[in-house]
Amino acid sequence: MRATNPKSDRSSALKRLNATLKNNGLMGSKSRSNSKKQKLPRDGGVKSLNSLVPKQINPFELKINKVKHDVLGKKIKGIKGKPGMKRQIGIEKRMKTLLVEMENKNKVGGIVDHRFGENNSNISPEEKILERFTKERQKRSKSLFNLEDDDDDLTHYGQSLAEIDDFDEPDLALSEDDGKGTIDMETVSRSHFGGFENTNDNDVGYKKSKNEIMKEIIAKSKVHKYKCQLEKDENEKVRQELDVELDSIRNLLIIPHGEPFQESAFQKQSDSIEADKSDEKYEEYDRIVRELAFEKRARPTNRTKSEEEIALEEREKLEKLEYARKRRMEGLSSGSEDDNKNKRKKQRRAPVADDLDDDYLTYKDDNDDFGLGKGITSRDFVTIERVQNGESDDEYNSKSEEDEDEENDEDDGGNEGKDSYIENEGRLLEDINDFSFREFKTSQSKSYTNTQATKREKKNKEENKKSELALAYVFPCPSTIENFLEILEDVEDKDVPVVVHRIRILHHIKLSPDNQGKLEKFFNILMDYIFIRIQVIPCQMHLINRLSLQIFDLVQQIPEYAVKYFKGKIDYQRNNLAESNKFPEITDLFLFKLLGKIFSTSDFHHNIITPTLLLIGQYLSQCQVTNGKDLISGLFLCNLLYEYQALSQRIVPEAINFLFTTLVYLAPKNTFNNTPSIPGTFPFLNTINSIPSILQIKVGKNIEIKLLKFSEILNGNFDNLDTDDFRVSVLLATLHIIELYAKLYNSTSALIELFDPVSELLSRYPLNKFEELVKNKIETIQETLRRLQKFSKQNRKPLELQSHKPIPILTYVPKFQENFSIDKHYNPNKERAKINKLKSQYKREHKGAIRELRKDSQFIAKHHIIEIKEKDAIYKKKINKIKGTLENEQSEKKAYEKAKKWGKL
Amino acid sequence: MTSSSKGKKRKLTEKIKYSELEQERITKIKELEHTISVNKSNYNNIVTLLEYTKDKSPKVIHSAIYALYRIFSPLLSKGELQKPKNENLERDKKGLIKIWLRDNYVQYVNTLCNFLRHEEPGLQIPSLNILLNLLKIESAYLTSASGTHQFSNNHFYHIVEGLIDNENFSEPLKNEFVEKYWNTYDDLRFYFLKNAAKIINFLLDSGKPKDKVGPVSKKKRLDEKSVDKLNNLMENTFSILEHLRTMPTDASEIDEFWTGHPSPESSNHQENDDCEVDSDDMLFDELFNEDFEEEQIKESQKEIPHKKTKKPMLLQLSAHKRVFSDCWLALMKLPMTQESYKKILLIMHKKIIPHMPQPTLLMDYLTESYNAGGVISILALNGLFTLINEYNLDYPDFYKKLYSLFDRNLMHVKYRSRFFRLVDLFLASTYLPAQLVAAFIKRMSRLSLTAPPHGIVMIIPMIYNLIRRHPSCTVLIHKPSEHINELGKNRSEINVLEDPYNFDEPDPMKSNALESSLWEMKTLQDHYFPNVATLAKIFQAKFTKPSYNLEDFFDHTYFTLIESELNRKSKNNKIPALSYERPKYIFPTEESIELVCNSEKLDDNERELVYENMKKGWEVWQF
Repeated sequence: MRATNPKSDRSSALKRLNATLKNNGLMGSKSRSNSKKQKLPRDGGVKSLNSLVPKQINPFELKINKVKHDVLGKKIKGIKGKPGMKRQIGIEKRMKTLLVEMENKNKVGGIVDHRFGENNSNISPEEKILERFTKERQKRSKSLFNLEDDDDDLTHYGQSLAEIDDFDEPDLALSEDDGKGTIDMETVSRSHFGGFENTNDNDVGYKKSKNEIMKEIIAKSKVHKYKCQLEKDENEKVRQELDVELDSIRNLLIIPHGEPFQESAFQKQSDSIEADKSDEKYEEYDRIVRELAFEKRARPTNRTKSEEEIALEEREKLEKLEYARKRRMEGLSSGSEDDNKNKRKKQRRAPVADDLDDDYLTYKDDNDDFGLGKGITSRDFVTIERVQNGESDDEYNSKSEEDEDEENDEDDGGNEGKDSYIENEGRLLEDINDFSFREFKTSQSKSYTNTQATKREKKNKEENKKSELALAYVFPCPSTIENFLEILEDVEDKDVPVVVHRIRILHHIKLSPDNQGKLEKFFNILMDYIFIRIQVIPCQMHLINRLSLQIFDLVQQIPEYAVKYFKGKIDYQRNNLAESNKFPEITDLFLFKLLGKIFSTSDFHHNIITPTLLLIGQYLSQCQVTNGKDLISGLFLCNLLYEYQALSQRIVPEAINFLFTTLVYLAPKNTFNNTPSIPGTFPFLNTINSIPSILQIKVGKNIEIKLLKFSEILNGNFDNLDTDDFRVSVLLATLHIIELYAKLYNSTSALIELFDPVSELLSRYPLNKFEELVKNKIETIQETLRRLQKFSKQNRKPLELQSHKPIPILTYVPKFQENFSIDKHYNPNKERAKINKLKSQYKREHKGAIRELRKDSQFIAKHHIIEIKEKDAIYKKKINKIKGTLENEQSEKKAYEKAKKWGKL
Repeated sequence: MTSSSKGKKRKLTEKIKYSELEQERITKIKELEHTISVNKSNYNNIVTLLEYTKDKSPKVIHSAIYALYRIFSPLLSKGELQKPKNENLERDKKGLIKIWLRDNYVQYVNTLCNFLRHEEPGLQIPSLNILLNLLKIESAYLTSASGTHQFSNNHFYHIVEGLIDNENFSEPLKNEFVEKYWNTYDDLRFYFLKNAAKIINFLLDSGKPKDKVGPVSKKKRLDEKSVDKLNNLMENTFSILEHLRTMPTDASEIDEFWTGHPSPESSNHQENDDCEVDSDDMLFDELFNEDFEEEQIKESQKEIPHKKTKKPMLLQLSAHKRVFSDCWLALMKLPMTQESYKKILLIMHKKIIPHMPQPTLLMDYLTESYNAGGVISILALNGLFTLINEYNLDYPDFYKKLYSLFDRNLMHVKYRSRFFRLVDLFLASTYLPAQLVAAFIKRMSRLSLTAPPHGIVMIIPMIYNLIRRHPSCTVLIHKPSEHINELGKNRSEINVLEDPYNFDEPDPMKSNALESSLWEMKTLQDHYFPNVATLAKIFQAKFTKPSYNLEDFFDHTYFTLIESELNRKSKNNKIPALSYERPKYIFPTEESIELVCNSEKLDDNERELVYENMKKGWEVWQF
């Protein structure tokens, strides 16, 4: 305003008023004004005058806040304020509301006008009067001819006595517990006339004697009682029926958590109903009812399924397992859908090259991006050495078996405490590690053969007697291998798995907490037993198979321990391998095969299988082949790896290298003399001349081809390994496994490079030297490989691995935020901004409310004072009046007395 | 020694008698020693004592040599063994005694030197101690006699010869010598290096006067005996040199002397120090092999140019370095076993090259080793690199040679991480032609197909870094089809069918690697070891990481990998997944299959099917 009209500011209020009036043509000389203005009606002019005047605000009443850093054209709230006006408005509002309330305080009632049409402004007064009149008339006419409808009815406690029926009132009914035929005091006091005679009024016509009346009452009450009794009996009956039925219903209901005490209590209840009906029982009953009401309802069970449905379910289960397996194969967490969701959530982050498999804890160090571990450190060397020293220590190895047994016995007390448990654990692992097969071969198998021998003798003696003897059903859980052998002393080989099965069942973990420990020990023993049995000649593979199945079941019973055991085994062999580069024994091979059967080998990462694979890889790549036995061991490992990877089809370079190296080893002498080097890129550390001649095929003709006898060869019972029969058989086996691998990998992109060496190696083979059969085999293999490679070549395209959209060039433009403001209320987070806004709003409202309340109280106080003043004024007036009259009287009296005095005088 | 004699005592009464005899003899020795020390006229007993040194019992020998040491050491310090200077005085009695004593002394020293070659370390060590003490006394005497610092090198020469030309060079002897003397005293080290070089050169010349070719080719041409001898020589010298820890790197570090500190002030007199030493050595010349004389003269003549230096030889760092270098060069001429060869190459860049005054002298040796192929080449690379890097050696066709080192066994040898560290260095330059880098990448990738997991783990990050450094090599992993079309249809068809890369081509520039693709890496994405598979997938991801720190990927072995796998903890301690089907058998034996068939009640056809199914993969086995 200052800016727009500075002049008006300076001029006085009166002048300004004049000016406005002039502008509106309300003042000034009429001669100047034109005809138009005259047309203005007079009353309109007055109106506008009234409206104009208050609009002109006295500048002294304005409160203006000074603005710092004024920006032109910007609207800012609260610069100008009219405190006087505001106050005035507030006071007026309060006058209307608060003052009225105040005045009405402590005043109850008032008159509500219920006359017809009183508040209805639509009806004209004439109509109103007419209507009222008719209503009045109607009322009168009704009562004229109606005798019954008497207004003067007798009442008792405000109720018409005529309407009271003696026995209908609910509280008059006899309560259930008084079945003795007496009328209680209440009834008497109520119906036996606490002060007035009902009958007198009812039977106006004739008078009854008191005796009659009493009789009538008694009869009535008897009828009523009888009715009550009947009703009660009926209820009782129904309830009893219900009780009886409930039992049977309860039996039908399948209550998942049947609490026995309830049942018995209920039983008691139902029994006692007939005999005794004391209140306590009812209470109990009530309680049970309440409990039942709150109890979980029995859920409906599934109906029995048809055969197809079972089959379908089975299939679904298998599909689910297969799905989980596939996910694990791809390295994802095994697959419930929740997992999937989580996964998706996680994957919102852009995948980074060094993302780890999710299943595993990531190491914090930067070194370990790929979970490779730390590699060799100088400390490792020391420990390796130490391990080696420790192992080669004579005392260490010559520890007698009794000692071990003692240790085992000590392990029995594993429940003593956590510390000792840990200790035991450590020792157990040591035990596993200490446990060398050599020892076993020497001592254990000796003892075994001894017992075996005695067993046989006994058997021969008692065969006839025992043949009918049934196998025992209960066996103790053995704690040592000797113990176990004792148990098996009288058992035939074919029953051993049954015995194991029974021991396993008898000592199921769920049956007793001790069984965990027992089974763990039994697991050890069983593994050892199998290791012994597999070294026995001739080996009973069928038995081993059946025992291994028991192992599988045991693993499922005690998975944690089994995992620990297998890890210990792998670790032991790893240390062994660091010492000497020898191919694995039959026991190790069995262990690997067993692991492959027990665990899922197709997983992307597996706590047991992955280290096993590495271990096998190490065997294949670092052990030196010196004789046929090594060759068989290696071939078995290759075949095993094939089985491991049959589903996941992962590449195992070590196996392929070994197979190719075997081809070189087996080649007849001077096969590779013409070539500068052995074809292929697989490692060949030896020179051609250093190949052990025992492996080279000498004569390829007149040969009998045999299957490779696994157990016999590896148990060292097969001494004719230095024959061409054997070597050619091995050659054929090698070719067979190579073919398996080639078919397994036929979809991989580097198939050509992988299997190129085979065809080159085989093309060097002097085919003429071999028999027709072998020759054919070699040729078919070559043909197969050629075909596979041809397909692979046709399908192979240059790689396009980086086909995702190009990586954007880094930008150095700062990130702008929309709606950024520097003030303190700014918050980029919308949610938080909203909350803050609400908070400040609340605060403002709160303050406002407080202010209003304060003003209210001020207003009230002010009015109190006004009231008090008014009262005071009235009082004063009154007193003055009284004083006046008194003074008047006094003066009159004095005057009288004076006059009297003067009169006397 | 005492323990061994005690052991003998226990066994037989004979031995007891023997030990009694021993005891007697020892007391006798003591008596004799006493008489000699009391009276000069009893010098003849020295001969008897010398006889005792030929005794069988080590104990007797031990006491005898110590007795003799006690007799000779005062004589030596008094100069009683000095060769009389005047010819005329030969007749003089004193002179005669002196000559006689000297003869005996020489005999004694020779005996001691022979004891260094004794099988019994218990004799070797005292002999060594006595010899070195005598050396000290002798040198002290010579120093006092001539007024300048002298080192009785001739005496020491024999000791050195006894040490290195020794079939029974035992571990304790080596330790005694190396730890107590050689690594501590600068003069001993200096003269040892000098003498050892001399001895080796002498033996080499005598064995093969005309042969000057490198160590490997020489091996075959030497006859058995000398080969053995040279082998011993090499092994012993190397085992001593290997343990050198105190080679001075600054002149001020030369401050520990066995034979007294040569004073630098006396440099004026020192001008013909060497000559003097040599002439003093002549003292004993006639006593030893005559061949040495010439040798000595030659040596002295050789060293004349160095005479004009101000400081005495022993205090000059350059002289130390020179003898060091001479000794190593001499050693490298010897034929050596594969093991020692590897060891030398292993310490080459750290222990040898820094102390050489002229490391380029090693050039021939290293080049030859580098060309040898296999592990030796890999090891030689390190030394060669030091030469190229620090001493400006120009090596033609270096990368071609490096390329050929990537052979089939590379990933399997022990020193692969050492090699790859260097390779990373060599290929670090961004100025290398893409063709060359691509060839290296492709070759590594081809080798990774047959490599163990720890090898692949090294290769993949390296390839990643290389591609990152040379973006033009990205075609190896990403060759869009339009790109091929640009090259022309005919060519592309051929490309698709055959891998254009030629593995057998020795020249990396001609190997045509850029036309190829890394199919091997694609295959490795399915490697059985999950870490390798994950790693191989980095080629499929965006290339956002600037580079991998290769140090994290070296130094893994099967051992460490299995260990880290075993120690790895799964989340929530989950039990590893079991196979979801209960297996019906472990080994597909006839009986087991039969059992399965029976349990499922199959007809013949089905049975056949089941049989085949179960045998699948194991057809060649009979369990």
